[in-house]
Amino acid sequence: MTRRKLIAAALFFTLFGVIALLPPLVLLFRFDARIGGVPVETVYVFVLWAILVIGARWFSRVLPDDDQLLRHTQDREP
Amino acid sequence: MTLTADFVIATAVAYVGLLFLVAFLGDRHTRNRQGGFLRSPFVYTLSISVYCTSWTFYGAVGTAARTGLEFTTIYLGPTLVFIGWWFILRRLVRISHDQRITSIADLLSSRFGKSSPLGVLVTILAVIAIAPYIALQLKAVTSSIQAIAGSSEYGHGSIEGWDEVGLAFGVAAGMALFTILFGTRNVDAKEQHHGVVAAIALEAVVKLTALIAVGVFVLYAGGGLENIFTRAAEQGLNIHATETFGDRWIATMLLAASAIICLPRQFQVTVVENSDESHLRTASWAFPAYMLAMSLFIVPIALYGLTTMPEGSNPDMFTLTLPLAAGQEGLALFAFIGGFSSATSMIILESIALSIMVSNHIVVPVMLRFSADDSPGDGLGVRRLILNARRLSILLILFLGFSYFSLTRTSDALAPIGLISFAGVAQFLPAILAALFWRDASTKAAVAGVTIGFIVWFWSSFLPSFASSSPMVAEIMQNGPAGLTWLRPQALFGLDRLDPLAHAVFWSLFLNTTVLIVGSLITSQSALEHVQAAIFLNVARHGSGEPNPLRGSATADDLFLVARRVLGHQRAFDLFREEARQTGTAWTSIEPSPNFIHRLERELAGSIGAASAHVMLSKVVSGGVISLEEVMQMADETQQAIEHSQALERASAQLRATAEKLEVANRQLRLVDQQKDEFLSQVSHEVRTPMTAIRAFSEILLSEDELDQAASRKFISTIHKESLRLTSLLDEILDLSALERGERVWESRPINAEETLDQAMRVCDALARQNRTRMVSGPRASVAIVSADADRLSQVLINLISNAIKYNDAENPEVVIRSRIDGEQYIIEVADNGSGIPEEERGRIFDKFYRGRNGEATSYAGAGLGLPISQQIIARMRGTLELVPKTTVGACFRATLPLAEHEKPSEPEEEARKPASERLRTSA
Repeated sequence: MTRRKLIAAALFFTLFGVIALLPPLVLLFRFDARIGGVPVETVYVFVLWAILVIGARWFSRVLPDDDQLLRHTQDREP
Repeated sequence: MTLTADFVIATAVAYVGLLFLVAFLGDRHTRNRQGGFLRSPFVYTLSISVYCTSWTFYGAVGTAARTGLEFTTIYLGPTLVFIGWWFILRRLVRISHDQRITSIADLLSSRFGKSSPLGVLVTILAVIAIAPYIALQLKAVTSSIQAIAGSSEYGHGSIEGWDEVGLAFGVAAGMALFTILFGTRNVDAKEQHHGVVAAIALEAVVKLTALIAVGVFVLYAGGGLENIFTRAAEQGLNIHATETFGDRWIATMLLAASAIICLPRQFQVTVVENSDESHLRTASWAFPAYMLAMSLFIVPIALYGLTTMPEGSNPDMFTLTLPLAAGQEGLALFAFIGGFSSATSMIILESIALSIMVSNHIVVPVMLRFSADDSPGDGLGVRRLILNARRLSILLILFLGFSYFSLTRTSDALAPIGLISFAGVAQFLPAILAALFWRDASTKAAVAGVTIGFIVWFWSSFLPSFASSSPMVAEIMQNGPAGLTWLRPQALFGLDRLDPLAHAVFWSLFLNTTVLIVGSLITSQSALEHVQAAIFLNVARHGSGEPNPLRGSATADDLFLVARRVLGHQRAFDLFREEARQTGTAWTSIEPSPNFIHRLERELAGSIGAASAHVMLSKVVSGGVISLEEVMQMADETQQAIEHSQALERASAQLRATAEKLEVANRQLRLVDQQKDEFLSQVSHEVRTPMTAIRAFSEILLSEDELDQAASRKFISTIHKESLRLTSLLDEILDLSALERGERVWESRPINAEETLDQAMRVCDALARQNRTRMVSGPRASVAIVSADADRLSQVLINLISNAIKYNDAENPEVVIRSRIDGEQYIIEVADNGSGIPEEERGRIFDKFYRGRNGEATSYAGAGLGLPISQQIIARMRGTLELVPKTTVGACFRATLPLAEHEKPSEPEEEARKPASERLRTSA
C-alpha cells in the first residue's frame, strides 16, 4: 500500500472502531444469549477491544516514519 | 496478623518512600546517561496509564455493579484516540516539541497569539474542573483505609475517633507534602520529570498486578467465569438488562476520549514528557492493551461481590473488601497498595501539571508586571519564586479537592464525581482541535467558547453535585433560579429527556463549539495570532517551518540578564557560550541573531511558558512589533505563493496542450502552403511549354517572308494545336479547382453505369485501333444502377481507358475492362498488360501534374490532371478511385461506386458540394 493509502486505512480503522462501539451498531449484540456464561454484548465489547488493540499494533508498525522525510524537506528549504 | 489502619498507613508511607527512591534514582540515571531504560517506549506507555486512577481501581467495579458495561466507555474512548494517534496525538506531540509547550494552557495560549488571558482562563478553569477528580482520589483512599479499619475489632488503631473528613484531610495533607517533595525539586528545562515518570511507571505496574491478582482470586474463589456469571443471573443480577447503550454511553465515551487529550496530567505525560515521537507508536497499541487488561476482571469482581457480599456493601470497595472478607490479608494489603498507587500517581501528576500552569500563566506574569526593574539579581530569584509558586499551587489544588470532598461527601459513588471533571476539561477540546486544524480560529472566539462552555458545565454539571449538601442548590435544581424553570440545571431550555450527564455534555460542548466557530468567523486575528496559527498548521504539515516571531535588535547583555533571571547563571552562561562557539565570536561581543533570540525564547518558554517568555523578551528586544507584521506578511505571502504556484502549474499544463495543438495545425498549414506553391509552379511550367511553342512559331511566321505555303501552314497548324492544348489545360485546371472547392454542381440521378461504361468503350475504340490495342470486355455486371451524372462518369471512364491505351508499351497491347457488383458496391476495373507503374510512383500517381516516367516519354503527354480530376469526380459520387496494388502484369485502376438503392437518402448533395479537404476533416 502507498503511504497515502496506509494513512487512509488508519483513519478508516479508527472511525470503524468509533462506529462499532456506538449505537446503532452495538445494539445488534444486545440480545439475550450467553457465551460461556458471559452475556453476548460483554463478549462483543471485549473482543472488539482486543481487535482494536491488535489492529493498532499492526498500524504502529506499518505507518510511515516520516521523520527522515521531514528532515530531508527541511534541509532543502532555504 | 490482622490488618489495621496503622499498619496500612505505615505500609503506604513505606511505599511512598520506595517511590521517592525510584524517582531519585530515575533522575540521576537520566542525568548521567542521557536516556537509557527510562526513555523506552514502554516506560512512556506505563506513565500514560496514570489515566487509570483509583476511579478505575475501585470505581470501575462500582460502576459495573450499578450500570453494567458503562465503565468500559471510560477506557474505550481513550482507546479510540490512541489507535487514531496519527491524526491528533502525533500533531500535538510534534507541535509541543517544536514550540516547547509546557502545559495545555500553554498550548492554547501559544496557538492563540501567545494570549495571556487565555492561558489564565484555561489555568483557572482547569484547577476548578480538577477539584472533583482530586476529591475522588481522596475519597477512594479514605474509604479504602476505613474499609480496612472497619474489617476488624482493633482495625482503627490510632485513627480511632477520626471521622471521614478528618481522615481525608490527613490524606490530602500527606499527599501535598509528598507531591511537593516529589515534583518541585527543580524547574526543568522542558518540564520533563524523568524521576517522577519512573515512579509513575512503577505505580502503573503495581496497580495492574494488584487488580489482576484480585481478579484471579475472584475467579478462583467464584469457581470460574461461567459460575460467577451464572450465579449472578440466578440471583436476578442482570447487568445485561440495564439501559446500557443509550445517550449516557455516547456521552461518557466522548468525555473519556476528550479527557485523554485535555486532562492536564494526561497532556503532561503524553505530550510534554514525551522524549521521542516514535514512543507514541508503541503507546498507540500498548496503552489500549493496558486498559483492556485493567478492565478484564472488573465485571467478574463486581458480580462476585454482588452475589457474596452482604446487602448494602459499597460496591466501589469490592476490590479491597472481597479479599478481606475471604481472610486473604496479604492480597488485601496488595490491593490497598494498588489503589493507593493509582490515587497517588494521579494526584502527583495532576498537581504537578496544574502547578506548572498556575506558576507559568498566573504567577510569573504577575511577577513580571510588578518587577519592572530589570535588576540582575542572582538568577535564583525567579527560579525560587517559580518553585514556591508551584508549591503553593499544589497546596491550593489539594485544598480545593479536599473542600469539594467535604462539601459533597454524602454522594456515594466514585465514578459520577470523576465524570464531572471530565465534562469540565472537555471544554478545552473544541479549542484544541481548532488549534490543530483550523487556521482561522481566533483568540476572542476561543476565549468566548471556553467561557460559555464552562458556564454551562458549571451550571449543569458542577453545581448539581452540591445538591445534597446545600438546600439552596437543591431548590434551584427543582425549580430553577428565581423560578425560571427553563434554567433548571439538568433541564436547560426544557430539555429534560436526556440523562443529566449527557444533557450537560450536549449543551456545554454544543454552545462552546458554536461560539468558537461563529466567533472566529466574525472576528479577525491579530498579527501574532496569524503567525502562531500558521506555525501550528505548518508544523503538523511540513515539520517546523517556523518564522521568528521576535526579530529585532537587542544587546547581548540585556538578553543575558533576562536569561540569567529565569534559567539561572549556569544555564544562561552555557547557552551564550554555545552561541559564541557557533558564531565564532568572543562571547562578550555576541550579535544576537534572530535565530538566537528565538532559541532563547524557547528555552525560557520551557521554564515559564510561551506567553511569559514572550513578554519577558519583548521587554528587551526592540522592533518586535514591526517584524511581527513582516512575519505575518511573509507567512501570508508564502501561503499565497503556494496556492499561486499550484494555479500556475495547472495553467501551464493547459498551455502546453494548446501549444501542441497549434503546432499540429501549423504543420498542416505549412504543408498546404507548400502544396499551393508546388501547384503554382507546376501550372506555370505547364502553361509555359505550349506558350513557348506558339511564340516561336509565330515569330518565324512574322520574320520569314519567304516561307512556302506548306511550311507556313504547318506552322500555323502547330500553333493551333498548341493553343488547343493550352485551352484544354486551362479548362482542366479550372475544372479541378472548381471540383476541389465544391463549385461544380451537377445533378446525380440513378443511371445504369453499365451503359455509360459501354459508351466510354465505344468512344475509345478509335484510339485503340489507332494504337493497335486490343480492347477486351471481361466479365461484366449486367445492370448497375448508381446515383451519378452520366457525362461525368463517362469522363472518368474515358480517361481511365484512354490512359490504359496510351501508356501501354506492350508488344501486343491489350486493355481489359471488367465490372461486377460486390455486395452494395459496383466495381469497374480497367487493366492493361503494359509495364505497369513502378513501385515508387504508385503513391504519387493521383497527384496533380504527375505523369510518371512513362507518361513523360510518350507523345500523348497530357497535363497530368486527368487522374486527379477523375478521383475528385468519383469521390463526389461517394465512390473511390484507386490503383489496385500488386498486379502481376501492367496497371489496373479500380473505380468503386455505391449502388443507388443502398445509398443513404439523406444529405444527398450537401455533402457532395463540400470541398474534398473539408470532407476529409469532417470524416476525421
